[in-house]
Amino acid sequence: MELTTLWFVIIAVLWTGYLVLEGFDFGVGMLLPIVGRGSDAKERDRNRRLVINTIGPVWDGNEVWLITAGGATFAAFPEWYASLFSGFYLPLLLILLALIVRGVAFEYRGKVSDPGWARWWDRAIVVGSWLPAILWGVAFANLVRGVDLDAQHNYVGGFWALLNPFALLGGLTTLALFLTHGAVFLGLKSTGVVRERAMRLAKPFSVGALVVAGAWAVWAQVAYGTGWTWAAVTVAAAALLGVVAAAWREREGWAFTFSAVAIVAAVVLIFGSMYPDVMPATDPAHSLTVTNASSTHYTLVIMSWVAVVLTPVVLLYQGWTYWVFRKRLTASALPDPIGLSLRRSARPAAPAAADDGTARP
Amino acid sequence: MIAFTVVYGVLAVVWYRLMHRYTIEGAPDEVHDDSPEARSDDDADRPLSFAY
Amino acid sequence: MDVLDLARWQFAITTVYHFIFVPLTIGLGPIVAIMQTAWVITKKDRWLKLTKFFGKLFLINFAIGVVTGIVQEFQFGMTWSAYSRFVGDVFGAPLAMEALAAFFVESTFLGLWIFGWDKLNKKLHLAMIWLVAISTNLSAFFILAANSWMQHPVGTTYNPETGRAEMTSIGDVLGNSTLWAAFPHTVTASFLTAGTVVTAIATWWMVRLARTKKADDLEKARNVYRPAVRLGVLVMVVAGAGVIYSGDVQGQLMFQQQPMKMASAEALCEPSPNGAAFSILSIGDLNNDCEGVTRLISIPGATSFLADRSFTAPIKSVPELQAEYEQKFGDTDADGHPIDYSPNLALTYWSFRLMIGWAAFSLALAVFAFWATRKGRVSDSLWLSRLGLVSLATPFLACSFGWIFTEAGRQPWVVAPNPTGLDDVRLLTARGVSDISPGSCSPR
Repeated sequence: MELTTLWFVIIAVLWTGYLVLEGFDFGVGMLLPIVGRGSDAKERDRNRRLVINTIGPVWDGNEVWLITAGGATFAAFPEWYASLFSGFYLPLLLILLALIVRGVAFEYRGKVSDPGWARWWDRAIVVGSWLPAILWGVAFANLVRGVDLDAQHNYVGGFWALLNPFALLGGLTTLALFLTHGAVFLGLKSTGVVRERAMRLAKPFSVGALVVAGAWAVWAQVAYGTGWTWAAVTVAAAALLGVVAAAWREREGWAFTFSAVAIVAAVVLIFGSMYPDVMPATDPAHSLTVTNASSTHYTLVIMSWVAVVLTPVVLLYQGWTYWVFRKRLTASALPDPIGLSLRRSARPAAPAAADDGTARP
Repeated sequence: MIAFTVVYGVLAVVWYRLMHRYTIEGAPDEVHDDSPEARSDDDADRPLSFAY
Repeated sequence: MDVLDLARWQFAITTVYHFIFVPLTIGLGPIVAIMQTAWVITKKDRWLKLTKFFGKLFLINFAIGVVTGIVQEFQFGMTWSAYSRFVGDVFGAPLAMEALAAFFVESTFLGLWIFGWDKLNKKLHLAMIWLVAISTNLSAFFILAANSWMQHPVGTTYNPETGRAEMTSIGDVLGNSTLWAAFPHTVTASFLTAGTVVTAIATWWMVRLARTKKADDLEKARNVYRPAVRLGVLVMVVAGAGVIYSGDVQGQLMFQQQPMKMASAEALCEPSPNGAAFSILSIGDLNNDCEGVTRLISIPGATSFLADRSFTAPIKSVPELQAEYEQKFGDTDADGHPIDYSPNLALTYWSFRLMIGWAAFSLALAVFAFWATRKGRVSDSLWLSRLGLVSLATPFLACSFGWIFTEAGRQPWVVAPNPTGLDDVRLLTARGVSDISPGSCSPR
C-alpha cells in the first residue's frame, strides 16, 4: 500500500475513534436535561450528576482523538489541513467554542454547590453537545459532496453554500446517530430511573436514526459513492436495524455495539466515497487528492513509525480505562456533592478575620 | 475573534473565582485513604470516592 | 483592521491566554505527584491533605488549559493556511507526535487519577499522576520543537517545485539547538511558576493560622503548610537556577541565530564596535523607531557580555542588520512596499525587561520564605504573607512577557531565516495568513 493511502486510512481511523467515542459523549450531553429530570431539585441534581458521571472519567481522553486527527492531518496532508480548516472556518469556530464551554462545564459544574451555578453549566453542556453533533455531520457531508475550491485549493464557496440540503441531512444524520448512541450508552452505564428513561428514548431514537441515516447513506452512495462502499451502506443499515431490535428488547450491550458499528460504517462510507480525493472540488481539476495534498515521503515514513507504534498502545490503555470504570453507576453510590458554597462558609477552625485575600491581625 | 475573546474573558473570571475560593478553603482537615488495600469490606454499594 | 491584523490578534489572544494556564499545569503536576509520593511512602496524612488541596487547584487550571489547547491546534489551519501549506511537512510532525505521545496519555490517565482513588491500588494510582506529570512535560517538548523550528529552521530544505519547506531530518528538527535551550528554559520557568504558587499559597495559610494563636491552628500551620512552603521553596530554588542558566544559554544562541531580535531587545540603534551596553531604562518617542530612543541608565559592555562573554565584543545594531537583510532578502515585497526587517522595538525591549523583572519577585519570595521557616520555624510575618500574595501573579506575567518577547521579536518573520545556512527556508508573517479572497496565494 502507498504511504499516502496508509495515512488516509490512519486519519479515517482517528476520526472513527473520535466519532464513536465522543459520539456517545455528545449524546449523553444532549440528553442531560431530558433524562436528568426529577420531582424535586435534589433528585434532579442527583440524576443529572449520574448522567454526567457516566462519561466523567473518559470524555477528556475521547476528545484527544479529535486533536490527534487534526495533528495527523497537518503532518501527513498539510494542504488538506490548510484548505479544510480555513475553508470551514465558521462551522469549526462554532464547534471549538462549543467544545470549550462543554469541557470546562464537566470539570467546573460540581466544584460549587449552588443551583444557579449548576444550571449555567448544564446549559453549556447541552449547547456544547448539540452544536457539534449537528455540525460534524454538516462538515463531513460537504466533504463527501465536494466544495468550491480554486486552483490554489482555497475554499471560495462561502458559509451559506455549506448549508445545502445534502449537508443538512448529514447534520441530522450525525445528530440522530449520536442521540441513539448516547441513549444506549446511558442505558448500559446507569441503573434505576435514568436507565429506564434512556432506554425508553433509545427506542424511537433508533428508528429515527435508521430512517434519517439510512436515507442520507443511500443518497451519498448513489450520488458520490463507488462500488465497494455499498458494503459500508449495507453494514450501516444492518447495524441500525440491530440497534432498533436490541433497543426494543432492552439489550443495552448489543444496542451499543450495533450503534458503534453503524458509526464506523458511516465513517467508512464517508472516507471511502472521497478516496482518492481528500477534499473533492466541484471542479475536479482543483480537487485535493491523497497525492497532491500529502507531505513528502520522508515525513510520511517517520510519522508512520510513530503512528504504528503508538496507536495500539493508546488503544490498550484507553481500553483499560473502560475496564477500570466498567461498573454501572447507581444514584445511591454517588457521593454527596463536594462543591463549596459560593460564599465562604464559617468553618469552625478558621479565623474570622482575613477572608478576602489579605491577612490582618 | 470577538466570540473567542468574550468566552475567554468569562472563563478567566470563573477560573479566578474558583482558584480563589478553593485557595481560601485550604487543605482538608480530614482525609481518608480510599485505596482498595485500605478497605476491609467489599461493599458493592459503597459510594464512589469521587464524582463530578 | 485587515485579515492579517485580525489573524494576528486572534492568534496572540489565544496563545497568551492559553499560556496563563500552561506553566502552572506543567509545574504543578509534578509537585502534586511528589506530594502524593510522599504520602504513599511516609503514610502521613499531611501529604494526602496537600495532594488533595493542590490537586484541586491543578484540575481547575487544567480544564481551561486543555480546551484552549484545542483551539491552538486548529488555528494554524483556520487563519494561517498559507503558513500551514508552507511548513506543514515539517511543522505538522511534532504536533501529531505531541497528540499521540503526550495528549492521549495526560487526558486518559488524568481521568483515572481523578476518579480512580478507590479503584486502583495506591502505587498504581500514584503512577497515574506521574504519567500525567511526565506527559505534560513531554508535550511541552514537542510543541517547543515546532516553535524552535520557526525561530531557527533546521533539518529542512526549500523545494522550489512545491514551493514549501520539506523535512530532511527529523533528528535535526528534534535536536535543534534552539529547542534544547528553549525546552529547559520553558520547563524551569513553569516549575518556578508552580513553585511560587505553592509557596505563596502555603505561606499565606501558614501565616494566617499562626496568627490565630490557637493550638490546633498552629499545629496545622506547622504540620501541613510549613512542609508545603519548604517543598515550594526547594522547587523554586532549583527551578530558578535553571531558569537563569538556560535563559543565558538561550540568549547567547539567539545573538547568533536571531541577531535582529536581540538587537531590538536592547534597542541597539548605533554601531558598537567596542562593546554594547545593557540599558536598564530607555525611552523612545511615539514613532517607535531608532531615532527616538534615549538611554537613561545603562551598564557599559553588559550586552556584549551576555552575547559573547566579552565586554568589548561588537554587536550589530538594528540599522546595520536592516541593511544586511535588505541585501539578502530584498528591500521591497511583492507589491513594491519597503520591508522593515526589525520587530516592534518598544514591545521587544520592554517585554524582555519585564520577563526578567517580574521573575525577580519569585526570587525574593524564595529567599524570604526559606529564611522565615529555617530550623523548624513557623512564621507569622505579615510581610511574608503579603509578598506571597504579590508573587502569585508575577511569574505568570514573566512567562507571558517571555513569550511575547520570543514571538514579537521574531517579526516580521513567522519562520525566521537561519543565518548559518538554511536561509532559503523563511516566511514573512504577512505571507502566512489565510487567503480569504481568491487568487494570489503563493506561499512566499
